[in-house]
Amino acid sequence: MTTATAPRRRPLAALAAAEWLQFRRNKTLVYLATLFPVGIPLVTYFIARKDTEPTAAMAAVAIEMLALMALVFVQYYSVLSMVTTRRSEGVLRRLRTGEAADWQIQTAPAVPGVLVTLACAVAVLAVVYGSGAPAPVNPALMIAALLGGIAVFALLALATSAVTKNAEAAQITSLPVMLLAMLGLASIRAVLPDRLAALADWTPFAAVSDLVFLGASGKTATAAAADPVLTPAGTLTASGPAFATLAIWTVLALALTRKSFRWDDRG
Amino acid sequence: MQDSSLNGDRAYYRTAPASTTVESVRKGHTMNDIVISARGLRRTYGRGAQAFEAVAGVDLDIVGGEVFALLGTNGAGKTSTLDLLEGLAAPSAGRVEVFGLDPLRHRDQVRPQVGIMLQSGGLPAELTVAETLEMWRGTCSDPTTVETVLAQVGLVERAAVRVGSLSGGEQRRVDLACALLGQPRLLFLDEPTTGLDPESRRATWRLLADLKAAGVTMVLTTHYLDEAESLADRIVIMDKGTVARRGTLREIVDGHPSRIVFDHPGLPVPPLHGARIEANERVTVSTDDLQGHLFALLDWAREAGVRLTGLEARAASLESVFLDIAGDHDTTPAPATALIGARR
Repeated sequence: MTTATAPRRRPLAALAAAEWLQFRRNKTLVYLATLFPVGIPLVTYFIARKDTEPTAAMAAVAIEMLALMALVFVQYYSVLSMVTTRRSEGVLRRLRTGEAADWQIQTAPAVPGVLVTLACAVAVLAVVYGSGAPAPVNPALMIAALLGGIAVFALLALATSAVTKNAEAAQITSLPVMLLAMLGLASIRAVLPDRLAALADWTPFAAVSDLVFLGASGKTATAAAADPVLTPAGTLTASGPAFATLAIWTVLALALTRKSFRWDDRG
Repeated sequence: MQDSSLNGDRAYYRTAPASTTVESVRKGHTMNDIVISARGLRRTYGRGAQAFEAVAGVDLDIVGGEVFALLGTNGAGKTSTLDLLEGLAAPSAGRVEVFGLDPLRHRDQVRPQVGIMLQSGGLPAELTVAETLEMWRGTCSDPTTVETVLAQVGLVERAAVRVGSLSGGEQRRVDLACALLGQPRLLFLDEPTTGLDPESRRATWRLLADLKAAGVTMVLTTHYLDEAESLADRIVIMDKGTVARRGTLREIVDGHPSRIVFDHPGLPVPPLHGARIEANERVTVSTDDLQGHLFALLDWAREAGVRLTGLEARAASLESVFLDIAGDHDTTPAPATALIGARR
């Protein structure tokens, strides 16, 4: 303990550091949260490029898979179960008696997921682009996809926790958002009937997927193979609907959270 | 009885503007200004037919530097009232001011001066004591050190133990340590010594006495009447969401009759001037002159040749006042502990 000399920290940093400690102590969670987002994209990537030169599309598929694993299974699910557990344990209620603001208490549980997501992204991007995949057309869009996705799925987790009685119930209450996210996968949207696919384009993960594909390959996730590769400026214009979708879901999740978030099981 | 005292209470507050200092506390502190002021406080849970009014019109003034105890049976509305004073919930009606501010709307300004210890813990089980306090310290704007509060609550040697592995009493003390970290001027303590062994309880009392000497204002709830007797400057006894009694220990006890109880002797009991006599299987004499009436009664018994079996004489105490209030709607005789602890 070096507390006597330690400078005063900001509430969010202190709460996030405590969340990070608790996350680190749950070894199963740490292994699963890093193994899947790194392992599955890389396995798909190396299977795809086994007999051929790596293409931008292969890189995009791998990064899309990374985003799905990291945003949905790590970020969304871990925030949902952590917030629900903290509420059951009375931690949220206790923290609210202190000086930390509500938004700081709500944001802190998202921090471990953010760090893991970013670390996994660095690992996957390093392997994919280090092993000869064509350079991304607009890397900024891929970063925006991850950051936007982190915000949307963390907020959706807070909103979901309102209808989640305890950590066990999270296994069921998380299903709607998880299914919604899967609908946005490029490979799923490609096989959906046109009208359903048009709807699926507005799901939160579809926006992430489109931004990843635009950034990595210069085409949207659902573009035909013959479609031309866009310039970096062109990808920016084409990313409008995706950003709009992220914005809509952010506002929606924020509104749901503000309206229904529960600090206390006592009601 | 309950109603008349309530009316008296209301009357007192009707004539006392919010800024008036409370006369009964003159403990030598210069800061006897009002720290907490509540008027017409109500809190309703649920709505429609299921609505339940946990706080049903409470007025309070709490003065700087005093220890103020809220007593009452389980379900009397103590914790619900505390929630409102702490700014953790909004009242359904009425208003509350802490340091002259609305504790809910001006949470940013009020909270740095306040330490709150809830009835139930709510500290993460996976962190050690030191990590928990370090986390809490990071949220405070003007904290003391972790070492200081660990020493205050006597947990220095348990700093590296996970909170989940601590005994209930030790967790309670970590809770108290968190409340102290921000160096509060006002402490809310909801049953601070529940689950503590007698030695730790005494140690906590000494700590609270030290804090009081340093000028910290405290609002305390407890089921231990001796705790209230030894710590509190003023006491409020709540019942069904309202204030049933209030005052210093002396004021509360003085206004309460002493009791003489004995088995019915089979003869008419003589009138005792100024006493109230209820004669059933047991005869209960309520009196403000315990010695005089006891003497008269024994004198009569000797002359009439009657043996007063099961004779008990008791001066008023905080416990008898408390049990009287609890007993108003719970007529079955029960040991004090059961009455205090078991309702709702």
